[in-house]
Amino acid sequence: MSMAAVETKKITLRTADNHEFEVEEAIAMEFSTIKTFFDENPDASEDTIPLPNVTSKCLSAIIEYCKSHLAFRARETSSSIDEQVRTYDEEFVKARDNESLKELILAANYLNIKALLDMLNQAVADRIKNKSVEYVRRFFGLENDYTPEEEAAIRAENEWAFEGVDPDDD
Amino acid sequence: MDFEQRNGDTISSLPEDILCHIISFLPFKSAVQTSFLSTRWKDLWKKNFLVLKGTMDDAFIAISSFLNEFSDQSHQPTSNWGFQFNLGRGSSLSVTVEPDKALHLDFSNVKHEFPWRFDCWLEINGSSYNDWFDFWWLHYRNCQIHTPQPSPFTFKVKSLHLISVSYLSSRAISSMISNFKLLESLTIKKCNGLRSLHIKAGDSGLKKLTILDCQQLESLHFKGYNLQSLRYRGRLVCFQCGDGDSSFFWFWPWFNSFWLDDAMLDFRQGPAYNSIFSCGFKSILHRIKGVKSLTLCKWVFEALICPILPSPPFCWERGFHQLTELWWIDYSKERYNSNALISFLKLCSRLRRLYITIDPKSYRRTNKNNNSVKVITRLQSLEDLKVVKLEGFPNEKVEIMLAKRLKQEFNVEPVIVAKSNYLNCVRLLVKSPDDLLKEGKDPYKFIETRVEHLYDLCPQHVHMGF
Repeated sequence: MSMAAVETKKITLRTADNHEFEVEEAIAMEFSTIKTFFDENPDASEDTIPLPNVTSKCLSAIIEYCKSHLAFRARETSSSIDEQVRTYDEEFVKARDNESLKELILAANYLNIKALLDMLNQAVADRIKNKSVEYVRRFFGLENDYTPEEEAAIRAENEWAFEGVDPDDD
Repeated sequence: MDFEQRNGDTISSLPEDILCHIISFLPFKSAVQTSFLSTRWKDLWKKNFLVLKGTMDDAFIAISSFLNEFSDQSHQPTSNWGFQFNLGRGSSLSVTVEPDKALHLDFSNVKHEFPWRFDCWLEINGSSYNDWFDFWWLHYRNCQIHTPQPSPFTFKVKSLHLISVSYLSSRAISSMISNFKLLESLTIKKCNGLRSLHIKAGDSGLKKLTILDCQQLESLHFKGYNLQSLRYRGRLVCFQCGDGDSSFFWFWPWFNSFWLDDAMLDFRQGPAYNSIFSCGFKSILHRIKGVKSLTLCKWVFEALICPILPSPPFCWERGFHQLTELWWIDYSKERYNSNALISFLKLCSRLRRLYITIDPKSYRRTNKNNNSVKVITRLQSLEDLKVVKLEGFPNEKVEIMLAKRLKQEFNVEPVIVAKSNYLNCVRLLVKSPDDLLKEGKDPYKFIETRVEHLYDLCPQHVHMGF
């Protein structure tokens, strides 16, 4: 499908590993951090924006996401579109391992892309919900720094929330 | 700019608001569980809570409207499970709600100048039967018990937890509690100043009552027909169950009463009164006959149960014939004496799991009336006894002596497990093969083993989590 070449403005972004990405203005405006920057400095649109906290892997994934969601939004809203959006989001998250999910979250937070951040946080929550404490610790790479007494105290304090629940096993 | 981030670093650099945001997507129990992850995560799940301000009365209005929001199905706030109410001058009250299930009110941070003593009356949708005719009439009309019709003011709270209630909040709670028509479990913890507690549950669905660590409590009155579980830890107080003053019903003890499935009677702090015989323990003993899980202190058995057992109606009964797990809290003496334990075990023919803890801080009676019970039972063999778990014994010799006595009295050799000094380990009693006997050595000894291997066989007693 050939499109009439509309002169869309392109913004250049440079990632932490020194890759440069050219993106359409519409997509760059999805990144609230960048949008704010341009609102305050309208003349800076020709310059390359450095993104020291984002790797090229993350940025390309994020650009893909924003492109697809922009396309979805351009079409008429209907339940089938919603369905497609949901499927797209699921696929986007499914293949990624925990490490890359976390990297994406950091990047989405830095670039301030609310919709993506919400979706990613929900995905992480889905991965850890109803799992054991040990599993969640491994997921986040956490060390248990409670002393046995502190742990017993927390357990006693929060015992009421687990009334009637069997100890989970994972 | 080197961007190889180490595994651990990545997530610890996630800012708190992202972590809180993730937690807000979790179901309630998973969210509370995050407090166990590490010290940094301890109170993260509460960060989403609103912070409100006002007086104690404002707080209760806020609680009611908060609960009403939850009761309204169409509008379920997902992430906001509670709020903190600042009462000024450093006092605050913490309210946590698990939607449609539990309400947790924590008054520990409410400062008051004088710890005034107070009495608390809680009435939960009771219809108490004033007389025999009332009872029959209601049942004749096929009145539905346990399922009261929810009114607009019914909160769908099934379990209520009250921590550190004081005279400041007691009246407000009493008036609020009449709206909890669907309440099934009530927990009252650490209420200093609480002198007497009166609970009228009538025929409401209240099944579980837990009272822990109320140091100044002197008496407990309970009227309710559906109570199945009573868990109490503290001093031995004056108990009054059911309609003690209704002598008309003596030949129908069944209907003005409740029978417990589960009783935790942790009185190791000793009696609140000097004369313990007026404390109404008989009515408790009556209600724990069919219990399945029991926690009992040795001093209570010796001082209160043994004297009553030989007399009717207890002498006609088969003992604790449904009891499957027992936690026996012993007191320590220079020479451990297992007579009382053995006497009690003779009443528990179906016992499966026995947990013995010797607590040096447990109360004990100083007059040496060694009431070894003359129990009218046939020689028992505890056939179902599979596991015995020991804690707090002075040394291994005593533990082994107990094992030998169990074999001698009941002809049973259960798995015997004792607490270990090593992390994640327990000590398991093993018997060496017979040839060692010839050398005059004791065939029994303990070996260390990992606790996971025995977890299925020997779970925690259900009362040990408190």
